[in-house]
Amino acid sequence: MRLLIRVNGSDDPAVRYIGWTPVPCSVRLAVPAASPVDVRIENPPAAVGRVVFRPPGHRDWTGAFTATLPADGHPAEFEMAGCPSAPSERDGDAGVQATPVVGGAGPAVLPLMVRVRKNAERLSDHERDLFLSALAGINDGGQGLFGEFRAVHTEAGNNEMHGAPGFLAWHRAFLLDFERELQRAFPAVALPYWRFDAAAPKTFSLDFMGVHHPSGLVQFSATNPLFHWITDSQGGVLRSPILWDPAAYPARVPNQSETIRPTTFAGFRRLEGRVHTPVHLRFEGYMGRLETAIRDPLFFLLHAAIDRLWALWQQQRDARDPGARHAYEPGPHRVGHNLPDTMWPWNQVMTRPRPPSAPGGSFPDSPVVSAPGREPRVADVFDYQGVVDPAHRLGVDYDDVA
Amino acid sequence: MNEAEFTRAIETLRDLSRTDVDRRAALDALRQAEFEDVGGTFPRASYLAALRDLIEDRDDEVRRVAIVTLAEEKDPFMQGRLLDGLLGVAPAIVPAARAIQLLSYDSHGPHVPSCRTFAADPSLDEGVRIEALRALGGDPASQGQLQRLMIDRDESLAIRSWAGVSLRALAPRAFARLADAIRKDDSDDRTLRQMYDVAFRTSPTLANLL
Repeated sequence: MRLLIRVNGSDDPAVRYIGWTPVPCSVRLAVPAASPVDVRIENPPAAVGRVVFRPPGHRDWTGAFTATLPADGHPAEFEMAGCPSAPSERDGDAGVQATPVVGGAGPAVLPLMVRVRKNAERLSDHERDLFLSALAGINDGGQGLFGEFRAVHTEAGNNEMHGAPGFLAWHRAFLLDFERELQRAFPAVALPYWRFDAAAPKTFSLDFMGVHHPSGLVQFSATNPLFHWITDSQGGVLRSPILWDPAAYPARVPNQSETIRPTTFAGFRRLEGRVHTPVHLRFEGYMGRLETAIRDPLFFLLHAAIDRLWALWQQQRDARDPGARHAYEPGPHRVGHNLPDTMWPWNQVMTRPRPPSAPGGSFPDSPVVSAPGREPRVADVFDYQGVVDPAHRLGVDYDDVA
Repeated sequence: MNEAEFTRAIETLRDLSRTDVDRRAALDALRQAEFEDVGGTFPRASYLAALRDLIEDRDDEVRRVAIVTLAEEKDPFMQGRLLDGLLGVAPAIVPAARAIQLLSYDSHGPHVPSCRTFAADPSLDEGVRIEALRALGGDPASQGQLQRLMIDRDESLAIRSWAGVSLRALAPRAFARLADAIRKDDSDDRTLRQMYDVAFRTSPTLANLL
């Protein structure tokens, strides 16, 4: 008896990446049978990443249930989501297992991954190395696609990305664009985030983001792929924490609970100047200047942390619907920062007041989700988990924001 | 910050009768405002003019920020001072390696020809040579020198590996050939071989350049 399991409405292995947001799943008989067949749906016994299921008509999630498959080969549908206490560590280390209850036939297993953004301090060595390999691949010794991202985050585009309400939305889109490019070659990669309000000894180590040195040039181990990180025709990363050691101490900025305390978006978004910029400025070197910050790969870990704070705030304030009054700041704002505005550079608009060039083209597609579209608007990145509308899901989750 | 606040902060920064604490606070506020500058409201010209007057300030932190900020801005005055110090024309305001590093924010800066000489000189401090090598990653005239240093077993691991990094930036095909030969040569340095194994393993294009 052969069972066919399908996730996300497709048989394509490229869609087998899930987060905390429920996705459709189904099981059916490959060949019609004489009568309906009961199958046990559960996690494979050796799964590291774990999923939970919700059969039709049920409110609660469960780790296992019995589905009755129609004899004619029609699918039994149910929902599935990653289990927040057990994200994956490797591609395919989670899965759906379907086993006929009677008859002794072996189980069918569909491997998948519960792929979420994790605290950089808690990555396994495998996850860390995969991320570094993906970074090295996109940089490709200064010849790779990273050059387009580098060309976007400059002073020329400053009005699009900083100093106005769209700061968070623009950077969420930018990170997602970058992450999707990493995932083209390394589908199991998700951007880690750096909790700068805590000591980060693993993050600032020779085998990860490197160790600062009196010369100003970050030290990497010889086997760290970032040893060949090249930007603007120069190898290496310039980064010196100013009177501070991020491996041993938190940054002196408001902590998480203080940052997410404001009840209005206008209050919350002050984190740009109160948290984000001060952390940048705690470094001499690339990170400390807008024009050069992205030359340091730590940029992405810092901004993933900022985005996570927004995700936390959105969760606590039920602010994932951009139409909700408290979810955003009433306008009008300058172009690029109003909810209906398309965001540069993905809109490819190069006439004033937009910047004169738009590197990188339109927004990349994802095999897993359809949002936010080729020319995302500010409003398109709020409902990143598809809470308001499943079609808005961006395919991104944070390990501790379920 | 508004225009009056910018003006006040710059005045405080310049005012040597103020405490170092006050002046650093003004500098921090200006750095933050510059980072967040949107709409071109930040008085960049006045700020940079003030920093030019502070590169030999009594306060280490003010001096450091002034020098670094101007170098990052590729400020011709700062480049001139750094280069004069590097070449011994005038007293150096920072050590040589640091001067090259700061000048290298401009990959086509006036220091590049000198860096060719520094990189080749084994009598110089290794830190100076490393920064000189980094500066040559955009200098087509240096390809031959970088190739020679990358394979020279009399050079240190650091010099060889930084020569390789800059060669990769400058001429990926030439780098790929040399790196491939090194990683396959059992008699060469083990760390260097591992490094190039990683470079090939993580690059989508290097192997295609052979």
